Amino acid sequence: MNIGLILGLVFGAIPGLTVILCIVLFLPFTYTMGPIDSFMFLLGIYCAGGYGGSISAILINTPGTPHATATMADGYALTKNGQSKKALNIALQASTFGGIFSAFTLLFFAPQVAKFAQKMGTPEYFLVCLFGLTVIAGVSGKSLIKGIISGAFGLFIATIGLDPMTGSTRYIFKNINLYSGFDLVICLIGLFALSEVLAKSKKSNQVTLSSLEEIKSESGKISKKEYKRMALPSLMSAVIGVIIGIIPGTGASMASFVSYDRARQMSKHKQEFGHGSIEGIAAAETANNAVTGATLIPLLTMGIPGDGAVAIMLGALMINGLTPGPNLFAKHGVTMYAIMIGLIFVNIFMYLQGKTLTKYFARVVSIPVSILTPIIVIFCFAGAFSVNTSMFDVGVTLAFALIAYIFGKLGFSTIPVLLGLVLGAITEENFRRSLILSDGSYKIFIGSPIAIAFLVVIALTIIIIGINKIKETQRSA
Amino acid sequence: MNSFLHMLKKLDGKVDRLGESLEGRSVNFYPSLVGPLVFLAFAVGAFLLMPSQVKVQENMATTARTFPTLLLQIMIAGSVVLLVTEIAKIVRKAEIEVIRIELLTEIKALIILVMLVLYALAMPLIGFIVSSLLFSVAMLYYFRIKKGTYYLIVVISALVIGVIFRYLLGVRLP
Repeated sequence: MNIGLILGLVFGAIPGLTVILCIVLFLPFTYTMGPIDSFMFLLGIYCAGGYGGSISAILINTPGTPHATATMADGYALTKNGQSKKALNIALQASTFGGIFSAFTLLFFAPQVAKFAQKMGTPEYFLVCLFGLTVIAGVSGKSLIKGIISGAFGLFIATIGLDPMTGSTRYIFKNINLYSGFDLVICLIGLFALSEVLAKSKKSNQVTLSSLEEIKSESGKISKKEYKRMALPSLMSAVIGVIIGIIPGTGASMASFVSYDRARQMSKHKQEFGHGSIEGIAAAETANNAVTGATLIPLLTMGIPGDGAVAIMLGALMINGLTPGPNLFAKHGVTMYAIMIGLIFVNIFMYLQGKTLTKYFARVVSIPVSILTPIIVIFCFAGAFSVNTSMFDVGVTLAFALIAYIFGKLGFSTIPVLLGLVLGAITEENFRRSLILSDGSYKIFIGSPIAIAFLVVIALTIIIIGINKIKETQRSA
Repeated sequence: MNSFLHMLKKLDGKVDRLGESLEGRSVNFYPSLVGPLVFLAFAVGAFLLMPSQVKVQENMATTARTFPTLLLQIMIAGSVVLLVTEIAKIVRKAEIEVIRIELLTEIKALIILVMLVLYALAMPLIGFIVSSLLFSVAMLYYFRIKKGTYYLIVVISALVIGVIFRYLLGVRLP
């Protein structure tokens, strides 16, 4: 867990490296661990990455992760005023609060959601998957239709291989390596890790990140009055983060921006926002860590990941023989409660590590890109090979890196592709089982109150996303 | 050794001259037209290949083709909607999205891709560690790095990664 925390902090702090990249690179290391150890390791990366992004956002005005963008303006403004330590303290304490709030939410709500999930049948499961895909298609990128096409592409790639229901082969072109389809980890290494290497081609010469300001010997103390100011925005942001985290397909970036905006609207010091507002930093950082536990709720209870990073953790669960779903708590209750309680400790240790080691982690933001790039590639190739001990997988990784690069040029996001790959099998299985039960009739998808409720939610989501996109287009025109 | 270094210097010079000639040159690219066309072509191609690639048994409520067919239909429908929207903008003489693609940047990305492919091809032939060392040195040279410490760091990192995977994780790398 502590190694995961350190890795998460480092990867989160370095701009250009992401939490997803870190989880993808180090997932193969978990194959030899038990379920609790591997999950604690990955959760350490996930939680610490949320805080790590704020280090570079605050110190050098560059967010280490997309989640930290909302922290950047106010955090860097405080640094320019000689209060970088205070800003880092606020970010750390807010992240810890958000993470622990979220961990307790997971502990108390997940078993209840699991009981509700037991009432869901195959049509409802299919509609939950569809809801997750719709949300992610809408929030990733500029266009809902492009997001839907990306998601459909990811789902299609997931169908390649043997059809689990009939045993027919699909699009394998007589290649035996494709019988079991594309491994999720291989695709992710290509889509999110190697593609970054191609994107770094814009920086052909040695690039060192802009000079790092030494953390001045200010005390960094937060007064009681300042704690009082941050209390309500932090609590509100924790709730927002949990709600957004539970919805499949969303993520910490959305949570941090929504919370930042809410904190600004209810603040008595609105003029400070964007110029060093402690409430702004507290709100954004609380929210982006409050997502961490909440995203595990749909993952553990229904097998539907709350965001991209958690989608990869699904792989860690499956490798250890834990199939997410409503029966997971019934069959592996001890393991599940250990993981949920472990998340509380992850956040506590994140606070302790952050308190003592931030001034050292702050230096990692100046590691040159030219050193990182070859190391990342070697890690990627070794990781891709290690999955099935096959060079074919290394080739697949390269192919997906090229696909991600092309997607970027064409303005299509790869996040819906990720979700399509993760949810492909479960979505198809529930879709086809539903049609078999209904003898091919689509009426089964409006056959129960839960199914109708999900359909209404999906329709409302599409309408809201559509309206927001139209408003954005009109604003920019 | 001297002739190898001399060859490298000559290559360096040629590459620098090529870079100078491409500096600032760019082409206009219309992603909102090209993107939907690419996906349309992909989906239509997959449809045409389906009869030969996906065998089914008749008279079943769902078959191995049901879900892929639905997905390809969604891709085609989405691509057509995007294309029609863009064509309507062109007809109305409204602005469509255009980005300038810097030729130099794209060629740099292509060079990195070629290096990655060569690395992957070399791995089973000369082994993981040797190919990783050569690749790391080549990447640093490509980034025009002169500092010896950087080369040392990446070489040591390549060795450490190889050792971790071989002895800690028990993975038999090539």
